[in-house]
Amino acid sequence: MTYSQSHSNKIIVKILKYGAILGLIAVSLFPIYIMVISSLMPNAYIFSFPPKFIPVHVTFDNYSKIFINPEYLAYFTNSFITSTGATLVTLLLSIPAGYSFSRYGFFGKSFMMTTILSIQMFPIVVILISLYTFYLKWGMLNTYGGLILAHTTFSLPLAVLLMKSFFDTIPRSLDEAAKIDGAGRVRTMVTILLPLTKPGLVAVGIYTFLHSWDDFVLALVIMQETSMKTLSVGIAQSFLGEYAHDYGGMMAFAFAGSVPILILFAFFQRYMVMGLTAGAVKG
Amino acid sequence: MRDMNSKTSHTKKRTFAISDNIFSILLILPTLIVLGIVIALPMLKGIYVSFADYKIGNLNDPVWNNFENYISLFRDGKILLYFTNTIVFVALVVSVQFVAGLAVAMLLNTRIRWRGGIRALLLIPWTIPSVVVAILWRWLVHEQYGSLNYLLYKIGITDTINVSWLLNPNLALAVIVLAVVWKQLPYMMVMLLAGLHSVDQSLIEASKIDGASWYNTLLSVTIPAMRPVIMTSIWIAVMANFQMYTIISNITGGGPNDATATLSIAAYKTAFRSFDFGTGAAIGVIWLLILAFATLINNKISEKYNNDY
Repeated sequence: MTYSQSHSNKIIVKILKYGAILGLIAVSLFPIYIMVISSLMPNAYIFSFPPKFIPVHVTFDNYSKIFINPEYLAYFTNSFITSTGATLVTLLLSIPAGYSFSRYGFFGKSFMMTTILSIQMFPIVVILISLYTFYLKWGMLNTYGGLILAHTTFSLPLAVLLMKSFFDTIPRSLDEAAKIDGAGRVRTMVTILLPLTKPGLVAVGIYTFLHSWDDFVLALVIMQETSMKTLSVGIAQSFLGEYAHDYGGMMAFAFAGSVPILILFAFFQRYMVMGLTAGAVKG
Repeated sequence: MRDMNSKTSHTKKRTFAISDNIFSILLILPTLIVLGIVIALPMLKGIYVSFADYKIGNLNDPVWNNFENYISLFRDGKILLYFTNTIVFVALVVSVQFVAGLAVAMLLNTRIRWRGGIRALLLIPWTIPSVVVAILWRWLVHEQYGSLNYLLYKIGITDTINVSWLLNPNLALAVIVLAVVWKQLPYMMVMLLAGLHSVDQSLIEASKIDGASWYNTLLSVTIPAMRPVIMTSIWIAVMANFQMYTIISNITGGGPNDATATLSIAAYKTAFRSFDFGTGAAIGVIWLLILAFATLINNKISEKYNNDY
């Protein structure tokens, strides 16, 4: 093979490769593109044949309809409160637990870890059936606390595993050094090791926030009062009711509900990937 | 362990010293309490009420009813339908996702420019909330104005524009599988990409020098080397899709005529639509038994591989 032949072969491979990547990106983003352009058009143009692939008569009416509706604004607030609450509580619980699993050997440790991890295979619906009756008895239905507790619980297994694997990456010689300097166990954990796991904290925080924002079934059962509903439930139910024949409004509502996560993603993409893979690759 | 021994001398100096053992348990205790209240307690009660007549009328006293919930599920054969639907759905989603995910990961693992940017763009679908994914896909396959519906007709895959995707059992299944794969593929891709990174490049070079073709290298070097990552990501995907409720429920609601009713859809509907909590819990318990059995087999398989290598 002459030099120029192998060179042109390389160029063909390159073109094919980048072509494939471009195609992939187009396929992954096509649905989102359709959502966005549908949200920007009046229904008369959405419901026209053939379907529009380039927006016409761009308007923000579909969005303003949502943001003048106090009920819908409450869905946003409720989602923010629960997701933020669940994130904080999850961090508060998973930091000490992850630290303990990483640094200490104790009786029943591996059994405990396995049990915590196998929780994700328990049918949520079965838990929800009894949790619903417990919450009813404890007066925790339609409360932020109730939903935050539920979201925290279902995020905890992976959060603990992630925190453990992030603590594992910090050399133990640091603990020793802190001890020699006279720092106690709690101080070593909080002021010396914790700052070093910052990427881990962000990863766990983002994971929990996303998980909580995404949840539908727990919120559906726990928050049944209109004023307490979260976005997922609100979007799904308005689709069955008010927005059943208003796809423009529906797509605007759906996209507005995705934007907070997209913003988080834009800022913390690196940490999200870290969180996604850390558990799988190390665990 | 090494830690515990070296610390004893230090803790002795304190006026009130708790041993490392107790300290380590104290750190985990809050987590255990929360998991106990929200998971273990309801789980145990759920198993108990699956054997009881437990409906909206008698929420405060479930009455033992001699396996009637289980018997009724098997009597009308519905449970087998739910089970088959679940297996078909999970198998389709996970296999499509795995093959596509591996292909994309391998493509991204070659020498390319802007890898970070490309990966970020491909990850975006994963950030879209499940409810939004469901509603979006219903719109894409709308029988008159759906963009995807129209495109499929234009390129000749469907022969009429008015395809009622959600009224045909197979097409409805196809729509939910597509929607779920679209959302979850980035996750699979990122995990497999991380797995590919962890493969020792010298192994692959050696195999190339030995004259192995690319798919031989893939099958006999790359995949075995990343087996733990593959096992974990498939396992996570199987578990997540067994639980899948949101996307199915908001696209088909289990229809048409129970064709996409999985165990999770059926359990929810029985409990919270028909308010028959006992039978709903029974569906869940059957499902738990299936998963426990699957876990046992999975562990046996990975044990076997661990012994082999």
